[in-house]
Amino acid sequence: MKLTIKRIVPICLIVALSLLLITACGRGNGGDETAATPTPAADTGNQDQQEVTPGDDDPFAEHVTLTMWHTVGGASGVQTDPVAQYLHDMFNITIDWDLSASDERFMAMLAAGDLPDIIFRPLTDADVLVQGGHVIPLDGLVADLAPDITTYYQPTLEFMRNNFPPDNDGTLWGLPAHVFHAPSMPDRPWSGWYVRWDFFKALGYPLLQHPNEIMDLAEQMLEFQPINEAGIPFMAFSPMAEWGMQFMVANTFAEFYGLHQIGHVYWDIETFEPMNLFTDPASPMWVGADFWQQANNRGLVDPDWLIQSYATMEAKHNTNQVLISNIGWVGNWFATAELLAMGYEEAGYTGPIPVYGSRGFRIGGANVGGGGWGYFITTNNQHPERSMELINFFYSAHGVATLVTGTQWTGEYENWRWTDEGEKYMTDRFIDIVTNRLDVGMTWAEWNGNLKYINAAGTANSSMLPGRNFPSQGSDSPINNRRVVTWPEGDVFERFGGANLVEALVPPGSRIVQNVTFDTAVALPPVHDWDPAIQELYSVLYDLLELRLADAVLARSQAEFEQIRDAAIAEFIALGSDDFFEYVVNLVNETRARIES
Amino acid sequence: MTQIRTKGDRAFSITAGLFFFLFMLICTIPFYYLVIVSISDAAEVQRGNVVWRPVGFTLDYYRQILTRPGIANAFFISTARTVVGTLFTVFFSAMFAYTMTQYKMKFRKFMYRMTVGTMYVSAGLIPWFLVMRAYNLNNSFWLYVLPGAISAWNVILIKTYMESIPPSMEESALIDGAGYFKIFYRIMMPLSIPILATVAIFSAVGQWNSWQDNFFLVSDPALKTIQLFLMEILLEAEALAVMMRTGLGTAEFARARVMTSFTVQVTMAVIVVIPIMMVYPFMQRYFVKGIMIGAVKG
Amino acid sequence: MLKRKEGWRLPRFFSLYVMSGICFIAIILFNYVPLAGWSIAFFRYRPGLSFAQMEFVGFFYFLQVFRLPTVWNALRNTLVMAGLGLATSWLPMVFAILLNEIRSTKYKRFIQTTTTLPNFISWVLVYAIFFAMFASRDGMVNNVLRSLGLPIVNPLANRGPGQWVFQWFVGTWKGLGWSMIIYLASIAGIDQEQYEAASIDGAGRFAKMRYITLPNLAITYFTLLIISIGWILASGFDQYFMFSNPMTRERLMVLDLFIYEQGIVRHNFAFATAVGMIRTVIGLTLLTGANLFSKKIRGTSIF
Repeated sequence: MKLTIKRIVPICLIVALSLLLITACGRGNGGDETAATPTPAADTGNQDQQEVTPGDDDPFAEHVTLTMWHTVGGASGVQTDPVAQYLHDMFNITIDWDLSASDERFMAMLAAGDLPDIIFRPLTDADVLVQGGHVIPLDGLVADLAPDITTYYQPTLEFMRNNFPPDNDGTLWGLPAHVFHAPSMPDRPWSGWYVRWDFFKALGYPLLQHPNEIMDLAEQMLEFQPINEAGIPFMAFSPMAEWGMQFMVANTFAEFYGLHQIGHVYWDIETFEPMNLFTDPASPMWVGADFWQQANNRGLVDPDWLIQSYATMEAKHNTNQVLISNIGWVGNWFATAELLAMGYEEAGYTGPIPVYGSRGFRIGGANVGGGGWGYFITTNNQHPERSMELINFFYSAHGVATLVTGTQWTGEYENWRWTDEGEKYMTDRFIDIVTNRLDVGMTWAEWNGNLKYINAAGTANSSMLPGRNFPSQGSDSPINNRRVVTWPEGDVFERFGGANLVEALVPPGSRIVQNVTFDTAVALPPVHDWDPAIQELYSVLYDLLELRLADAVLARSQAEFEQIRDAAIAEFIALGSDDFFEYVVNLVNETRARIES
Repeated sequence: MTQIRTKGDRAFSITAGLFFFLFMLICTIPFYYLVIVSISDAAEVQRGNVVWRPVGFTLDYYRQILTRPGIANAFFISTARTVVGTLFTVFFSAMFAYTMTQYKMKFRKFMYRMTVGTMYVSAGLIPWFLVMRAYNLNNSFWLYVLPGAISAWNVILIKTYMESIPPSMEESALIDGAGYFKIFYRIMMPLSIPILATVAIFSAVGQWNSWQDNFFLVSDPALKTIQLFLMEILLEAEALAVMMRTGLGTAEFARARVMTSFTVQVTMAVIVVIPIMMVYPFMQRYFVKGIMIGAVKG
Repeated sequence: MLKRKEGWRLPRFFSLYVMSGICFIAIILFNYVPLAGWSIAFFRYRPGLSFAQMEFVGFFYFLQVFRLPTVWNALRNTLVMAGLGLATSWLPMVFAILLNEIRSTKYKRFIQTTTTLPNFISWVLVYAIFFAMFASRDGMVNNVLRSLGLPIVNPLANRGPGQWVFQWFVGTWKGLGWSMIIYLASIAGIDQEQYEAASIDGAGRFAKMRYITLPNLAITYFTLLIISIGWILASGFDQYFMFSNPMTRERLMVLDLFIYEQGIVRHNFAFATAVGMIRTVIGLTLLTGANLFSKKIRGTSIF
């Protein structure tokens, strides 16, 4: 053995040294090609490749690779998708998407001053980005090279100039994305009760006057059919607390009461009057906690509700085990599909149930949009002009449509055409596919482009299409008028009428308004920029809140709940929640004044 | 070594054997659960039907992961860093540990104290990131191998072990005029095989499981390790789930063999463990009871 | 000093200095140079800005560590878990000694290999496994208990001190097999002659364990113990992150989790760095103290 080691070790060390030398030489040469990817395969790390055709003045002639940083969770395949090929053909650009995005990593890169060419970040990052000299001003670029942005998004640009960074001199430093341009496609409210619709129908569509009444409905449903089609007992509710107790309890009721949470204070969407989240027993948070306490004591809630992860919760909803949910995006489609696959054709889930008296509002900013994120071009960028052309594409009608619907269904890569008067309209072929070829057209796996680019490029789903009279918007849009996809949705139309699902399910008298409070929320400085003493207070209050909410929802009687709640409120006041409240109210009002000026 | 087998002996043997069998079961049954999940239909797993046996047997998830372009290179890189990194670590940690046993050396105490101290200091992510870049280790294979070459933990283990070797070996060699490096290489290392094997195992496993250096500092796809490769698949599966939420469903969904993120994680876990389980028994050969001492003494 | 008296010895010691010097430089480069980053703790740190652009706040964040009420809870939880770990730190050693007694080498190696499996399962999956076993509604263990008419168990939601014991069990399950390796290697290095001599003297199995094996392992054990004492405040993050939920939060909020929530998630890097520095000071103090104590009692120092 001694001999073997003696021989092996030096050999391995030599091999290792050679390997290292080889890789060290390989670095800095533009690197290697990724294996087995068709054009336009992304080339490498952070280096631009420039292949200039000699003697050609056409700005598109030079092929350029741009590195791009997007939000967490981008999909691979963006490099090889036909949309990427399209971008390559049309713009002569290859986008090198950074696929290992994480907030921590971004912080590290920012500290090192080594950012990719185009970054997609919260607008509130602007202060550091500008002060640290990491991004370039965009005024000239937008004016010269971004016709769509200039034509359709002036209010957005204004908003950006005035607010980011907070003491800005009017320079344009970034471009907000996810802009909801009025009139945009109305959205169903996210919060609300999504239910097993055929049971709801069998029970006579009992509508609600207040979200609390769902508990009675739940008991009726459980009595109606306690065991599901696979033999497993139903549960009425199965929420999860993985994102915090506050998130779990607060959402259901805020919309009903017409309150929007900004900076951990509730604001009336019409009067902008503040309400103290921590200490007001009538705040939606405490009302929500009360609700869950009651539901739990009535035996309606999954006993594992506080320990299960998001994935487990999702799995239970998707497999038809949970009758009611207040999170709109779990369960519905999969559970309905599951039932369909088992042979139950007139069964499934949808919602939300109309709740009369709701002051429900649709979330969407008038000027800035839902995400509060936007594009910045960094000082590392060697090709800011080409970058701006690309970004403009993301804002154009054609661009959004391509990113959403892909290239497959429009042979000439055109979903839209221009009239002679310079207006845009959808091609017949596109409309036909969207309205009639549902079986083929609508599953993500068969569409290229689609959401992988939406998340990656930061564009909003067909609501970012400009122009008031753009035919894809409004309730007569063929996209919105896709009526029946699943049986429950078909039944919704039958029962409630309406031109589309939103009209059908939002009860008359409920408001659907552009929510101006949202712009304030976007422009509000994030917590880590607040006064350090208030930051500390926030930490203390929030940590205590998580504990007390858990105690409260686990109370065994109404009296016990109220006792815990009142004791908690006293604790918060003793800790200084009034100071916190005052500070945030001032901050929000300041922000709002700044926006509206 | 012969032992008289008394009745008490047998009773002890049986008890010990059973006890460890139980212990082994507790350790392996959960892993068995992971394996059957990885070969079951993800939808059945979601429904909670997979308990003791696989349901809806499928190797599809392995196939999907193992046929992805780039996985071969990722395996190669991980193997390379494991082999090279382990050799570096074992060699340099042992060498340093040996010098730390030489109490006559000036500054020994200081150096050893500083070494032990490294286990209690940590600067945080951003400083680490900036320093590694300053050394030009970003996007380099050296990054995988150099920083971990001398870890205090390994040095302590080896030093402690070396100090239990009878000093007569060293002394006779010194008298014969051997240099310190020669003594280290020809005498101390062979005598320390068990602990070196231990350090090799720890280091190899650490290298194989490592992903943070890759994630933060290496963007070159040619240097991607298998851990990062798999993690990107996981991120994609989660992104896929996000898309499906906001996308539109038909009956096709129920029939599609959709990878949930849980399935991906479990399949990944099995893929990653198998090479280790193949290598580890190989290393056990070196846990051989003290044959060296007798051989060298002669 | 040999070095001065006999010049021809110089080359010898010289090789020692070279050997240790190279390694020591590497240690400094990779472990101590980054500590310049400790300066972060004294500023209102924002990544992307230069130090000139950031406000100097002195010891603000250090004091904040002690001002936050939750830090004391975190400290308590961390110390309890550390205490449980230290109190049972002899388990891997004892298991190794017993395993060594198994006569069949094949069986021994099989046990050795398989008991390390839990070490390779990530904490995310460990939680998934325990959830699959112990969920109230459809956990495997509880299903069995229910069918036998027995009351169900719910360790994942236990709010009492039992939660600490449960976490200790989970941690031990995951790490015991792996920790045994060190001791198995040490046993392999014990001079066989000692055993043979003992046999001749008529020593039985247990006597051999007590008087030969155990003392030989003692040095390793105590070295690791002293080092672990220095690590009392470093409980690890992943386990507690996974098993934390509204029910267990109060008991499982350990220092590392506290740093993560207060520092990393809230982008308060200065705070996180300050806690790290305090922890270093405490750790080194404890280490030195434990070592001095050991020197007094056992006469050995880890240095």
